[in-house]
Amino acid sequence: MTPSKPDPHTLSSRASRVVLAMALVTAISGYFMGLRQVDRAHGPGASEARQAALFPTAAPNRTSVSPAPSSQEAPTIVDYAGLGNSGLRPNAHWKSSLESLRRDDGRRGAGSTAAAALLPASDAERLLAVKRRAGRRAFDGAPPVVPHPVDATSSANCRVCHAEGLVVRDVVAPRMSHPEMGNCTQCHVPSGGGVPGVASEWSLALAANDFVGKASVGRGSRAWPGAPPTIPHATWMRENCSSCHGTTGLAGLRTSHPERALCTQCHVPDGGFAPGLAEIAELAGSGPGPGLNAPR
Amino acid sequence: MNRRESHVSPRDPVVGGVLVRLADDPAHRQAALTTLAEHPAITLGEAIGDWWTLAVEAENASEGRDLHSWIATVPGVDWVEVVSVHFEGMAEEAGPSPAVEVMA
Amino acid sequence: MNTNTVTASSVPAVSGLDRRRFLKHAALASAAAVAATRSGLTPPAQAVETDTRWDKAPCRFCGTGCHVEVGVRDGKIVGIRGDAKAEVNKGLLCVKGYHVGMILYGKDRLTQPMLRRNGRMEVITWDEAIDVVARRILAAPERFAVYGSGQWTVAEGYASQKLMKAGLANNHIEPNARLCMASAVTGYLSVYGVDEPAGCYDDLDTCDVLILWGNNMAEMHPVLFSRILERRNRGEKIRIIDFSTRRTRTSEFADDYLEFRPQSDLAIANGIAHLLIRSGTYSKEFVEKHCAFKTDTAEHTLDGRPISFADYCRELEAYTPEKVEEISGVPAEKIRMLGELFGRKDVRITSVWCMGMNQHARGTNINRLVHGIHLLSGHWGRPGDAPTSLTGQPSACGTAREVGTLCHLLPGGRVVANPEHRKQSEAIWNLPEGRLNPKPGYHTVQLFEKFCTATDKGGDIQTLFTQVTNPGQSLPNLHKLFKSKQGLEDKFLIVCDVYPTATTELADLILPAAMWVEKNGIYGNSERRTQQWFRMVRPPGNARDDCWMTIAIARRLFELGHPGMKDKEGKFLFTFKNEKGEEVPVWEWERYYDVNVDRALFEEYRLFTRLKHKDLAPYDEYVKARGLRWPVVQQADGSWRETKFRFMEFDDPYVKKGAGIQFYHSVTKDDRAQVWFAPYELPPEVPDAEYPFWLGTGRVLEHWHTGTMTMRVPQLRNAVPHSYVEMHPSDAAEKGFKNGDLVKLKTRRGELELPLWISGRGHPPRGSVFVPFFDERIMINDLTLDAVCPVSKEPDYKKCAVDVQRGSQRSARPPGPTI
Repeated sequence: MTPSKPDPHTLSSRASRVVLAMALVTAISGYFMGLRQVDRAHGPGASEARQAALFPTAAPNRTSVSPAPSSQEAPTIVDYAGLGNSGLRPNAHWKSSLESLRRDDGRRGAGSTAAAALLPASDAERLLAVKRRAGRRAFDGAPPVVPHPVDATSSANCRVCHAEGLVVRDVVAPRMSHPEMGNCTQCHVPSGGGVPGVASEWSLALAANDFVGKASVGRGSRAWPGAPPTIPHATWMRENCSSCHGTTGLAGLRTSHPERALCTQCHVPDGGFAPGLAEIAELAGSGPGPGLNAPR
Repeated sequence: MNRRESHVSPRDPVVGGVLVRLADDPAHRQAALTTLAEHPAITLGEAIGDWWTLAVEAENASEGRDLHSWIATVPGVDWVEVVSVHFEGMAEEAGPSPAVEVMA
Repeated sequence: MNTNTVTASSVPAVSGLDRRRFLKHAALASAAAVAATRSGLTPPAQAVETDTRWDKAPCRFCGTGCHVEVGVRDGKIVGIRGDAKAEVNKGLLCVKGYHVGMILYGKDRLTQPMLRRNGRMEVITWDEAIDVVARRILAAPERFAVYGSGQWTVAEGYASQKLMKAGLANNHIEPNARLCMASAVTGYLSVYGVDEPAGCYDDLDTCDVLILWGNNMAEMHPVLFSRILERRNRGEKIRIIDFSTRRTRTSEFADDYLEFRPQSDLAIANGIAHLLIRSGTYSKEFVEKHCAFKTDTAEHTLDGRPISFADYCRELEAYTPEKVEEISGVPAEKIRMLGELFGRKDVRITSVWCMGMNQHARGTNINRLVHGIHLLSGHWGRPGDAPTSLTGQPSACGTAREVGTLCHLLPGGRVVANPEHRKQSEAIWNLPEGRLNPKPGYHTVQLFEKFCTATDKGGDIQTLFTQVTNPGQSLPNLHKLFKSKQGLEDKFLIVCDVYPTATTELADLILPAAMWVEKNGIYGNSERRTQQWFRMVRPPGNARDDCWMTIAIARRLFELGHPGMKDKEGKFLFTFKNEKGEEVPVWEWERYYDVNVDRALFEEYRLFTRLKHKDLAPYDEYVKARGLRWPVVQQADGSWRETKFRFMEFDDPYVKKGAGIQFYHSVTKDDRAQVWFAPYELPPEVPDAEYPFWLGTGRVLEHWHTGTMTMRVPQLRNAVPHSYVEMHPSDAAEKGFKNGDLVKLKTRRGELELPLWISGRGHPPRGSVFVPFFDERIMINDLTLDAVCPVSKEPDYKKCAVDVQRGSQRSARPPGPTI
């Protein structure tokens, strides 16, 4: 990709939204990174980009396509020297601001109201959500892969969007369910690689694997109609329910009553989904038995 | 089951699942348990960890709230939490077979 | 969608009274469920997920030794989760660990034994295969060699060890661990007289300063690194100092990133010692009570030469901060900062390292020096004050180091050259006196040299049997040490593996193996923790356990009359009895699981472990635990107690009462540890006009070793689909390279084309490039140097001289090794 010769017209509008959102993300993360990092000594380019992110109007306008944005707008990336191969395009015609993104109430599209958010999910919506989740996981319970390039070397970049969660039209940056974990890329890796030369013959032969992972059971059980459903998955590392079920969650998973904060008052984990508290508590207890037909 | 179509009247009888945490002092605990057990609308369940389970019946939601407040004032009760509230009217609409649905 | 309806209770639509009763019960039940959750009791199980059976196993990948729970349904793995009961990882895994179950299901698993006939691989039966191996051995037992790995289970390594050393009196057995932690071993041996860390991962929970010596912990030991980050998130202050030759993900979390020139870590360590001496902040008390001094000599032996403290100080005089800056490029002020840090008594300092210090032309020396500054400064002997090496393989410690599957070792820290040790081993193995061969075998690099050299030119290894490793990709200087086997007609390579690899390409006989939870196993991790698991699923096709193969080969040799397969009473070396006392012919595959062979071998091996205070508990104790750290010593009440901190009186039962700290395996026999001096020396190859760049190699988070497993997991492969070369943007700009360009790397040993990644995963400084070694289509080890540490014989993969040029046109590449 040659950053100085972008051709945004060839992109579909959906794709461009995704790409531009990512460009925005990188610009913002660049801002935060710039605040806390020691200069990586990558020549003058990197520090210039950081300057540009900090003071957008003062940036040297080296890429011809980037008009200087107003202070309300997201900072524009003006120097690509330090960005590596992140699959980015210039975001010059992106007109939104971070403030307005944050205020999105969580329903997709414009004109949604808080009242609309209270509609419980339909079965079809839930199925769709479960399917979409499955697409990013090797099995139910596996850490999801990251559906965008990860150029970041530090988790600060991830936190810019994922700390609170972000909805930009149909693109959702889910809120972290275990923000206390400091090293995001330990478990979450990009699904599309980040290594340049992806189109080369080296990437073409993909891994052939017969593994079939366990699927999500989809929904919890209810003791009787109207009873609060149980939690149909392990809650280990998923203690923050609002991560998936809050306002930035997928439509089929979103709670109909986000105003009630203490989820586990009414929704309890299903016993079948260990590791449960009891298992952890019996730390020193006897382990499970032998596997299939294994003699003792 | 369809939550969207359920209508609950505030006048319908209610059955609630309640958790209470009792005082550490054994004498106070016993006094509280006796008081709770004697109340005709309260069924005493079991002790689990720090908690006692109760089932509470009331003729309507308002009476249920009053009962909740009353339990909190019983000497020896440290804390009350309502875990579930069942509205009679709703279950009748939902049909005869309360069941656990599992999607495999 | 398949919807099962499970009736929760027979529900009455009968009378109002019944209804009420039901609702009250339901209300109580829901309250009970909530109370149970809050009280740490599990709510009653529901009819979900019960068809998946979960069982414990250590992760198959690195040496951290995380425990996973493996979910099995209908004989297949369907899920993996972190084991919350495991002290090592407390329920957390890394991305490899979460996907470890998928490594069994690559489409191209090897499932049949295959023999090369007229240049083609043909499927044969197991009986034929075992017979071929046995007859090759019988033809020339002394020209047979075994090459295994730190991925061997304890029982597998022990069985191989016994077949070779006890049965064939042949010491040509090596693990690939020679390529990864041999320098750590020689470091521990020459400092403490006994291998493996004194401390454990608990040090990470109490240290104030963590020094990473060339260790990209965020990618290589991410679960341990997260343990540190978690403390930070709790508000604890931990200073992370990242010594590195290239900026990595770890550097992003570090308080100090100190970039040094390859090999100059020797000077830095000496610089710290220099400052401790000069400022008088070394621990006089610790040194007087617990230390003796040694220096490396021109011959580079394990024992070195004893020197006085005064001599030691004199040797260090030259290593002033300014001098160290000149050598290493690390600013003098930073060296002073480190000197002051080590001089402080109020902080606890833990040093960790892995391949950066081990794969080093002076690997033993840098290990000695880092132990030295901890001993000298007294940052030793309290939880959090520890020099600790990490390992890269799941049982590098458990199998390679403890079972001693190296050419000079016997189990339990015995050495073949010591007559006393041979005698002890012969007694345990019930061998006739004098059976064991006193002469060490070939170390790894020699072994492959001898195998790849024509017999008439002195290549006296003719048959090589490899198990659980991929030397065709992981050896250095592959053209010389592996590929030149091609065309040598009398050489015979037997490869036992699970997938086609760079090694199977040159194999004459391929034996398909069971892997991980397809067999019973025991691993030993970096912190002396021995971990056990049971078989959970069946291997595919005709794949079989590695340990069975070894026993079956031994049995065939026994049948063919090899005298070494009998003990001194004429009994077969691998005789196992069931509970009724009947001998079970486990060499017949159908009978192999009639007894637990792992358990039987482990109990035999356990006798060795007591000889050097590395006591292991009975097998059944490990079945119950998520691993135990040796020495595991039985208590008065019959229970078994692990040891977290060795040589320290408060925890190690072998320390004399009142001693405080006792190095009871001291090489000077006076309970002292050795503080070594070793000079900074130039690396064997440095960049010059012809080859102006440094080349370093290593791993990435997503792939493990040669990628044979992780490259078959879509989630991991998609994350990093192929190898690449990292370069500084300014160097790339000077050469006119853009991101993604194909460039050619060339060393004195080979050349390679691969894509360029600027400002990617890692950030090498100017004049230096980095290539990961996981990609079998881009084998960087065609280029690496086979120079070894003179003491540990471990090669230096971390530095050689390379030229970088523009690549040719992109050409179609073969999709990978084929058979």
